[in-house]
Amino acid sequence: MAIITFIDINGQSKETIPTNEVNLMQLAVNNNILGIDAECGGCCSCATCHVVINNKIDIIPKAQGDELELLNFVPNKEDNSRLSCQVLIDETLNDLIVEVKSA
Amino acid sequence: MKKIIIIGGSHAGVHAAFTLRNQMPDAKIDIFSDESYYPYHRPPLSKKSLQEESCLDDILLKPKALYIKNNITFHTDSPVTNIDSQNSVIHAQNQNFEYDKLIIATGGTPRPLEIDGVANQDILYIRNFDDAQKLKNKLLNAHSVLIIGGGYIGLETAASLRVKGKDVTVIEAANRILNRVLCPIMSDYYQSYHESKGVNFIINDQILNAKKQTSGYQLKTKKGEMISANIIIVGIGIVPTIKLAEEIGINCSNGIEVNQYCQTNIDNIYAIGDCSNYYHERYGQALRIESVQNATEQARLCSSHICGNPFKEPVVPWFWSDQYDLNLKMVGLNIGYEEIIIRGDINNHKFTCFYIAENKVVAADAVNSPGEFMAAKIIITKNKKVDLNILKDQSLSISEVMKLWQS
Repeated sequence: MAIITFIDINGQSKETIPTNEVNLMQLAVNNNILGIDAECGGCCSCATCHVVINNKIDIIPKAQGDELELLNFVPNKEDNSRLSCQVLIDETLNDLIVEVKSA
Repeated sequence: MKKIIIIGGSHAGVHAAFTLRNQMPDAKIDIFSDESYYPYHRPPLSKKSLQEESCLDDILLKPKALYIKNNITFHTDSPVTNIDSQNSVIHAQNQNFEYDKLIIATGGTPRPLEIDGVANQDILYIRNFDDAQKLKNKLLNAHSVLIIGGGYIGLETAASLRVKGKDVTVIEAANRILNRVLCPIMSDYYQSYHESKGVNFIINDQILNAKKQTSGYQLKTKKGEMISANIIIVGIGIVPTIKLAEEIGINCSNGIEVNQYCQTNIDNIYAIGDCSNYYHERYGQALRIESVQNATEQARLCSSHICGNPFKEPVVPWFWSDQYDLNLKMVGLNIGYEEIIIRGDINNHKFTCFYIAENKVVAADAVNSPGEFMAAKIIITKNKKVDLNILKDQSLSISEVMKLWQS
């Protein structure tokens, strides 16, 4: 079972275990992670689910299309920035550390 | 222990509950909803949920277990019948519930339309899950649909129903669709796109009356056009639900009047989301904005005020609408714009209308252009004069435009 750790907007870290969530945004919402507003519900419309992947970035498929365009302009963007609604969850993400950034 | 009561199982209400819980671990938090369901995303009702088989669980805002885990008590089928602000109690389920802070997040109901010759139960609306279910059931035996109102809800529904292969006619009373929110260029673009997908439009006209047929109605417009439809859907805006507030003397005008903290004229009562008429410092006026982002933002503002956090100005309003393969993102308000600058390629369905006033970008409508949307959001927030020739220069990418503006 994969364990994914979120560091919320206040720096608090929280371990989560995905059950049936498809992407990191759903996992954050279902665990009430502070700072993930996810206003559009996961349709890559709002960029309010901005996170930075702290490890394992190489095994995650890269951002593309709309996500890439949105990411170009998100505040506090870093090299490993992603919109969490576009990062799909699978077993390989075990021990992933995800830092929440303000939208 | 502080007692927080939220009226309305809405985007705004739920977001307020969870935001408060994060900062007030000991508070008693109750949400009262008149619906039978846990709160869900409403935008998909006219989009994805209409086109595909879907169940409520697919669109829940939060899983039920999360309310329990966070000790947020959600009362389904529990309309609040009245508020007693003298004693700080609300009345629901035949009992009184005390509060220290009360948050009204009651949203609105579809503006009703009566049509001469049509039974009221045959006029459909799309606001909540039950509405959408009723429509889906009726669609099983329907081929032709009349949509009254060329706003977002009507057009999104039109798109979803065309995708399902229905015959769709949209009638709009004004001289163009989306006239309240978009510039004429955008209205024309959207009408043409819908027409290319087979939607029939009747503009600048209204339904006069109707005659029942074996399956549906034969309708006549004021200008004499005849339309035959198995189903009639009305999307002509919403009426904010303000009765509970009005009854206790809270100031209301086009919604419940609130200050910059979302506070009503009764100190410990707040109003957020579609039902609130919020004083926007940025625009120097009160505005009632219907959007998910506004609901979330006001939930944040009221929670922040209840917790005694410093005030942080709301972000500029933004909206989105999905129709067919067009993703429209809008940011800012185009009140009083003087000029439109278009970037991108309309024929390629990837373009943005920038609304300009006093050499500032005040709003933007971005079609399939998320980068332009984000850039516009940044520049509108800064509210500063910019060199418009840079924006007009299409040889520059939007990133280059932003770099030049920020240098």
